[in-house]
Amino acid sequence: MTLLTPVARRRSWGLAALFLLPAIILFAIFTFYPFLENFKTALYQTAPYPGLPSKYVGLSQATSILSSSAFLQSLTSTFLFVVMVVPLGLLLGLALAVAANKTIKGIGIFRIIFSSTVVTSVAVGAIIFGTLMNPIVGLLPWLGINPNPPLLQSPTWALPAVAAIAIWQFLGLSFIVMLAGLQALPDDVLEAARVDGAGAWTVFWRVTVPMLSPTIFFGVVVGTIYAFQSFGQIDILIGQANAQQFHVNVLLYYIYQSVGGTNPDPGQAAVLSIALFVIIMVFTLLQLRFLERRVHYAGR
Amino acid sequence: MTNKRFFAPVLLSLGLLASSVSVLTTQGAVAGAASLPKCPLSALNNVTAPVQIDFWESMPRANATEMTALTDQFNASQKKVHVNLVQQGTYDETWAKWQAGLTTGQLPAMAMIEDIYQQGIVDSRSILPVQSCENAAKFSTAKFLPRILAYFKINGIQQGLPFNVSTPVLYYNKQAFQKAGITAIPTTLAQVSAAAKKLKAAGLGAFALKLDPWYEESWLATSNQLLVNNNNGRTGRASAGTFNNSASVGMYSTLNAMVKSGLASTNPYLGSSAYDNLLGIGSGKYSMTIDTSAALGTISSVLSSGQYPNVTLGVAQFPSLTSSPKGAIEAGGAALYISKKAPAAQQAAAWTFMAFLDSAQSQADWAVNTGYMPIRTDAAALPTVTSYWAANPGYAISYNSMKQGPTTYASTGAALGPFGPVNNAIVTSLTSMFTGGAKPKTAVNSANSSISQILQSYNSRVG
Repeated sequence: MTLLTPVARRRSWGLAALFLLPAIILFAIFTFYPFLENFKTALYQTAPYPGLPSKYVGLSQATSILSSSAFLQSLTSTFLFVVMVVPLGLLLGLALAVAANKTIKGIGIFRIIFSSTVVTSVAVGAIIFGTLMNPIVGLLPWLGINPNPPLLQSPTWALPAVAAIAIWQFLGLSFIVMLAGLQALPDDVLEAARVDGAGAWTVFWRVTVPMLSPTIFFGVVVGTIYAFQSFGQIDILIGQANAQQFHVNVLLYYIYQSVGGTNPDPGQAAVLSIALFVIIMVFTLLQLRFLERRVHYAGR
Repeated sequence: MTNKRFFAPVLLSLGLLASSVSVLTTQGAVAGAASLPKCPLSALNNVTAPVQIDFWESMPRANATEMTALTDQFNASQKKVHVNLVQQGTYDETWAKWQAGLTTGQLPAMAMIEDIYQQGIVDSRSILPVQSCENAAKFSTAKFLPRILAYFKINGIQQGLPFNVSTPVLYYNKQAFQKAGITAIPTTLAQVSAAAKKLKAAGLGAFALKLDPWYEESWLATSNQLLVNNNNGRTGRASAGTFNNSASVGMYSTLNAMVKSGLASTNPYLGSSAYDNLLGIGSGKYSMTIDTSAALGTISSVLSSGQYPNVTLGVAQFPSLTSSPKGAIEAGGAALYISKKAPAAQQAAAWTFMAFLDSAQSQADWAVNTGYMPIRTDAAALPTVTSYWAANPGYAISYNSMKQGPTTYASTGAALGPFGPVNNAIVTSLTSMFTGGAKPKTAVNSANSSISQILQSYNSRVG
């Protein structure tokens, strides 16, 4: 890069700012302003219907919501959900990717099938699984599996059932990411390991996985955000009236109910949104701090 | 301050005492009439082109077909008003859209809003009470069933005009009852349990308990028990639950025993599993259930397809909690509301359409095609209805139960702003008992304290 004179540098800064301006304006209006406004809303007890006055209550609203049993239940459900979805979704995705990373005739068909959930809408997926799990007309009772209460109506099993659907949905993306990672691995390193006498298992764990670690790390970050933001399956299969009693009221859904349900409470929604923001931020920072250290970026 | 705190409970208990003996004679049409806003009926007098109004409604399946038929009939019958029917999805979705419309200003002139949101729509200060239009039009409600009118009144003022009114009824499979040797149709919850036992012993499906808090609330109404204070929220905004009474504990105990002994299976009342109790009757998994009478039209059309040869549908009155009920069944369904923000001509147009929908002939047509009850005695006496009921006695059940029993604040049911969360609290307490092992009394008490907490937080927010 050539060195610029002070005048030229100033001019290029001005030009850069000009180009950035549209984006900055859009972000300011649709992201930064609402983000800051949200902190303000959290300090107000809002009326149950639009157009009625709000009351300033300071932090008391936040403390009472964050210490409520409903919030703690929601937090527990959220973490359990993430813990179920991310590792299983990535492991299965990796397994499918390894299976499909072969040069056999017709493997393309399997790759399409494995990645198809990426283009399946959440609603369609949820309804298909909902029908399979339906206790009256579903596949499960036909197979003789008929728990009482049914899977999607049980405080114990509803969350794992919804998580299973989320895993299935996430599998497509996880598969594509893993397969892309596998295909980008340099053959010479794998070849060298094999020549050195390492078995398939050893090659996989000692060479493939470490070299795949940037991909896996990427998958963990994306998967965690995906899991935190899961919504459609819960709304379609469980619904607002049942989310809390069946212990599937994950944080995002709790926020949705506070803002878009039949009993909106924007003040509560603001407090919960800030809580979710802090949680995702802490998670991402922790992942960057601890996981990224173990990631091995091969000489690329 | 100290005085207030001391007196409040005393006054409250006096109020409760009074309410438990009083019959709703004080809820006359004139109460509070002085402060009512004007209903601009004259705005329609000089219109040259039809006034277009949107009507948001939530009718599914067979009920939607009849809703469209009535609207078409109205549009063809006169030239001043044209109604555009807008199906907004479920009741909850219509209500959510109404609330969104309060911000955006996108509100229809007229909407069908579920009963449980009555106090909410009043508190949102977005409606013109239909009482105003009833007064302006000198509309007579003398032929209306009193408990239905009372159900849509708050502080004695008719807030919405009742239109589609139903009660829960007992649906059962006559063939299964015959196989199990049951001759007497259950009229109490205890008899439902006994019948379920016989059915199960005969190797047949037993009882499907849909976890719709409407039924628990109806059981309270049949026992003449209030759900909340301030006369079930009818004479002032409710501020505390009165759910922790012996009737509730008895009801919870019976339901718990049925679920625990496998005589009853549950399904949620909202979401994708809301019809599992009815589907289960079709598949033979269950032989009886409780559901709204409004489903009768749809059920009949499904059964008539011949897909279910093992089902002969029987309909009976909602079983009461005790054998000699002191109360009566409360109404359910929805009412029609007029938007406060709509232009005068549209408000007048909305009222004209409502009056048509509640005419005796419309109510008769509506009842025989849907399973909702005719809300007026003169509609029930029309040949349309009498001949249909003679051939299909199931359709008369909910009307007959609404004619029986006293009209008290308890049998009228509650009016609550946060009805959704209160319903959730009741369902959650039932689930905690069925799957969490909570004792009936503990479950009732926890539901009641949640209800009180929900009401207090709502009241402080609504100001």
